Amino acid sequence: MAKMIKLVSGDGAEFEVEEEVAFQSKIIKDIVADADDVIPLPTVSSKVLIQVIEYCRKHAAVNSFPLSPSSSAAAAASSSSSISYSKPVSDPALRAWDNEFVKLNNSSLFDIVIAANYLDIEELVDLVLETVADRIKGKQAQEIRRQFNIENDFTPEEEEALRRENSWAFQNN
Amino acid sequence: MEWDSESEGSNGDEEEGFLLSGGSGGPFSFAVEGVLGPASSCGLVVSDALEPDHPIIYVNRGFEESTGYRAEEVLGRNCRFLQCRGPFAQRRHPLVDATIVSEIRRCLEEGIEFLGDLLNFRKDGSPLMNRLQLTPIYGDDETITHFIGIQFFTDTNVELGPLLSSAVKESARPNRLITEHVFRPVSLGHTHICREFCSMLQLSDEVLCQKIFSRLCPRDIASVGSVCKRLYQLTKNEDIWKMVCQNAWGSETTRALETVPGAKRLGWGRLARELTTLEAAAWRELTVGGAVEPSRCNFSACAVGNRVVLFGGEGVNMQPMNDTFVLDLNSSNPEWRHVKVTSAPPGRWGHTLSSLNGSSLVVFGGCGTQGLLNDVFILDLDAQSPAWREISGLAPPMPRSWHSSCTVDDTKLVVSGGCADSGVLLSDTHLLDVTMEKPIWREIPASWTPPSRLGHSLSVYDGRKILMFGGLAKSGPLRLRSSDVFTMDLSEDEPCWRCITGSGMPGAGNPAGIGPPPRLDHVAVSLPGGRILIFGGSVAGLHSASQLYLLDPTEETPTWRVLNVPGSPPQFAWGHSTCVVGGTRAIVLGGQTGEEWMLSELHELSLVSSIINVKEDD
Repeated sequence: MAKMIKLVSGDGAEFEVEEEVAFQSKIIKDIVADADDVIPLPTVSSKVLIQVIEYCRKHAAVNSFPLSPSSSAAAAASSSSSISYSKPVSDPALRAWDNEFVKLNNSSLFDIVIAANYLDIEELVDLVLETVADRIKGKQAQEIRRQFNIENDFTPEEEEALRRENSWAFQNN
Repeated sequence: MEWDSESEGSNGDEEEGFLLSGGSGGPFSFAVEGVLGPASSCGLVVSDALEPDHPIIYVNRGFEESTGYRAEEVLGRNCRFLQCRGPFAQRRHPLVDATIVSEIRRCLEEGIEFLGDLLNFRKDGSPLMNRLQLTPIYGDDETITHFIGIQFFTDTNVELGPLLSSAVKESARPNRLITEHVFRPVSLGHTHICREFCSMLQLSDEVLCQKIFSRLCPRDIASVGSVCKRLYQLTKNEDIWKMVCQNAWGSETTRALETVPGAKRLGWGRLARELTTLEAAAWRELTVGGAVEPSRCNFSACAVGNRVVLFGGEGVNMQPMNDTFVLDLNSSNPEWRHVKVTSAPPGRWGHTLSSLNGSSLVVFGGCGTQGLLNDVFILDLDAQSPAWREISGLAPPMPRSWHSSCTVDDTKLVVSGGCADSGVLLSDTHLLDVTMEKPIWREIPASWTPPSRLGHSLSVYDGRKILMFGGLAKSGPLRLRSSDVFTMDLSEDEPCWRCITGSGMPGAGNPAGIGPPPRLDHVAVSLPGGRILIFGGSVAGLHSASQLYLLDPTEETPTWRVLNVPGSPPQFAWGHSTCVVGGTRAIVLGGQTGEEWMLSELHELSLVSSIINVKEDD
């Protein structure tokens, strides 16, 4: 029988999960080491916690095997000194599942990334931020504002100057 | 620690010494004694007290090593950037003690000495404790002209978390991703959270830059910068542009770009723009010294960094040659130099020369004294004594000449097509990983291959994709010049050839855009970002060989475009004797006519502003 950990969300809901699932979170792993099996997470709502647990459950199986030397070298080689991404998900089925998982609106994604960061689940943080980057790609400024609900604080003159300054990016050469 | 701020001249074990020019007085020299201790932990900063906001005018090596910031990155700025976590943060980090900062400000205003401990950050975001001593320096007329800061840096275990930039809230641990400027307090304990404000802008500058913007291409960064003022400020940062360029074009290209003399002055933002628009592309003529003797044609040329390497060729009596020459374009007076190698491959012409990672080149095939070849030789130009080293790969392809080659992943040689013994044209494609212990050639099986050909070009784009263009191709019983474009993605499990656009392909229809007239032995330049530039070669009919054509195979519907570029192009340009230097210029070797190989007159197609045209910042 797998060891179970109890997670308690901010609104008081309790979730029992297998140890290896909960250990996707480095924070929980550290806390449990101090012999504490019930972990309160006051800043995480149950809605978000359910989603995070779902992600952890899916990824627990993959992460239970240690990185082989070649794949960690590949991960190291693919990251430059100033950028740190967690190792890319190589299993196509898992990648597809991740892509489905992040089909959420921006505010839900934001909740998840905050919780994942709090719980120190690096891969989930990177997954969400990568999704945000994908939502920016190929968009013009106005679309990006609409997508992320950002206010345009430029004056019309500033906008015109910007349009001219950036016109190079939008012509087809 | 005591030192005399007004001592002049040098002492016995002087560690630092530099010349400052005072405001109204003449220059005075300043020497600091060796009491500063090991240079690596001690920083020395001098700031100009007469200029607004006290810009830094000098930092020592100890400062550079301790903080990770190079002098050129910080000169002219106020020292307070050390209180921000990393080069992207726009605000002082919340854990920096504000009372100390006020105390420093007070001392500077009153012109008195400051001594205290302040939290600072290295360029990589790691925390440093800075025991800082600030001392005013007086000029001749008793006004303060400079401040000297001496910093003893020590590592500190302040708990920051990977992305911390927020004020500590009521939650059990600090939230690492959010900035201090939260629009209204949010209680995350409730299930229903109403957000009227933008969640993305709550992320810290570091997260925005390192985790989101760094994944975008140059065009997207331009869009992002037009969204709002904060994002505009972030995208002005040169470090973001460098990361974006590295991601978009690969680290090998960006490293090559860094070695281009004008690149540093252009900056990554401008480089990204110029390599996207090609607005500064121009032809120039270049005269170089030295000589490649005995004279020859049908040699191969390739660039290693900013050096052009030439190997082999066909001499006046049609004898295959095996000597190696180098032209260093970084030098102020570039000239051809013969490279003394301890062992040379058998002489040849009609071979290919391609660059590998670092400073290595690889030769394959060609026609030698005993017939066609299929051997592989590698030269490391930067080795102590450069030597050509044979790579015996198992199962080599058929010997051939006038094939095409390219390098994928900087380590895998790809060879395709060409002409075999008895003049038979080939259409096979082979790959060799030269870094393996025992390299083995691997033929890339394809259920369908383009018609066999020689004198075509093979270019790498978008990672591991290759693009084949033109050549003299088999067409029934005939051989015709071709303008077909085929691509293959080598990262697929079963790579296959795809026809993009072509004249002679059944069912291909009209080529999209104004395509280049069919040709062989032309030049194909891979631009950062995936586009291919085509010019030169032996062109059918009366078409000019110097017209430039551009194709982006990553587009939905790849379309040929004509590129008009000022300057006078060479009349002829050949694929085997043109090479791309530093990712930004194509150097065409060869003189006025196709026959005369005057290697002292070169034509250069530069894709970005040349160092001569860039305005000096005085």
